[in-house]
Amino acid sequence: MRVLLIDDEKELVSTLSERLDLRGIANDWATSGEQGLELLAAKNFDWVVVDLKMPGLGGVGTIQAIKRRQPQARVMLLTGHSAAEDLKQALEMGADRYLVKPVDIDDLLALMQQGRD
Amino acid sequence: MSQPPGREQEGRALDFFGAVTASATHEIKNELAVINEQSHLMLEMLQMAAQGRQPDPQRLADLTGRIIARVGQADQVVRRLNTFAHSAEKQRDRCLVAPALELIVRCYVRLAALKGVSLELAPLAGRETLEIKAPPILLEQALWAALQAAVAAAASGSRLQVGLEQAGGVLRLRLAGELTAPPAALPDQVLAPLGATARAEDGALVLEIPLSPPPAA
Repeated sequence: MRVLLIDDEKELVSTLSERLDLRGIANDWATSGEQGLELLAAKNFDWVVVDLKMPGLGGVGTIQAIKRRQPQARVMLLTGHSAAEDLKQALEMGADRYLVKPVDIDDLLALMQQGRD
Repeated sequence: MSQPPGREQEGRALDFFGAVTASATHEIKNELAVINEQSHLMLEMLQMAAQGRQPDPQRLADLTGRIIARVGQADQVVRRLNTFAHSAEKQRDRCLVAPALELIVRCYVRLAALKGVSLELAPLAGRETLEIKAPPILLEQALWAALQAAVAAAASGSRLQVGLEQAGGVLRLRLAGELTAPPAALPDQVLAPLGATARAEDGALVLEIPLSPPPAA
C-alpha cells in the first residue's frame, strides 16, 4: 500500500509520515494540494489523505483533481471539526472516508484496510 | 422576511462571535493534532527502544522542543480567545483601540491565510492610549467586517497592510493591498452603532469611526 498525505501543517504531515514509516507503510507527503498533485502525477497511490481546510486549491478542489487524475486512488478526508456541510460537500466530491483530527493512526489504518476489502 | 433592526444587529453580533470562536477553536484543534502526532511518535520511538532499537536522542530532543513550542502556540490562542470573550461580557462603554485592533487582526490571520492573503499590522506605537467611547465588541465587530471585506477583495498571494490613524475626532483604519475588486460594502448594522463609515479609496478600504459616536448612533 502506498499513501500520499496532504496537509498544509508541515509538522503534522511530516510526523504522520514518520509514523507510517515506522509501520513499514510507503508514503509521500505534501503541504498543499498543488504539491500533492505533482506527486500524484509521478506515482500511483492507493490512498490519498487530504486535509479539508488548506489555502490555494483547498481540500475539496484537491479531491476533485485527484479523482480526475487517479480515479482508482481512495481519498481519506481529514477535518479539524466535523462541520456537516463541509463534510457533505467533500463526500459528494468523491472522498471515500473521513477522519476528525487529532488522528488516531490505528483508526486511519483500519479505515484504509476496510477500503481495500 | 425582514427582521426588526435590533434583531438583525443581534444576529450579526452572534454571527461575529461564532466566527471568531470557530476559527480560534480550529487553531487550537490544529495545535492539538500536531502535539498528538509528535507525542505518539515519541512514544513509539521509546517503545522501540524497549525492544532494543535505540532512538536517535537528537530526534527525541527535537520532538520534545516542538511539543513545548506547540503548547505555547495553543496557549496564545486560548489567551486570545479568552480576551475576546471578556470583551463581550461587560457593558463597557469605552475601548482602547490598539489592543482591540491587534486582537482582531491576530484572530483573522488564519482565515486570511486560507485565502492566500497575509496580514501585516502597521506599528501602533504612539496610539496605545487611543480610546473610543463604545463597547469593545462593537469596535471589534466593525474591524472584523472590514477585514472580511478587504481580504475577500485581495489577490491571493498578496499582503494586506492594516494601519491606524487618528484625524481630529475620527479614528481612521486603512486596509491597503492588492485589491482585485472593490471591497463589498460593510453592513449598516455593524457601522451604524458606531456612527462609522466605510469606503474604497486608492486600492484600500478605509473605515472611519468617530471617537465619540453620536448618541443617536
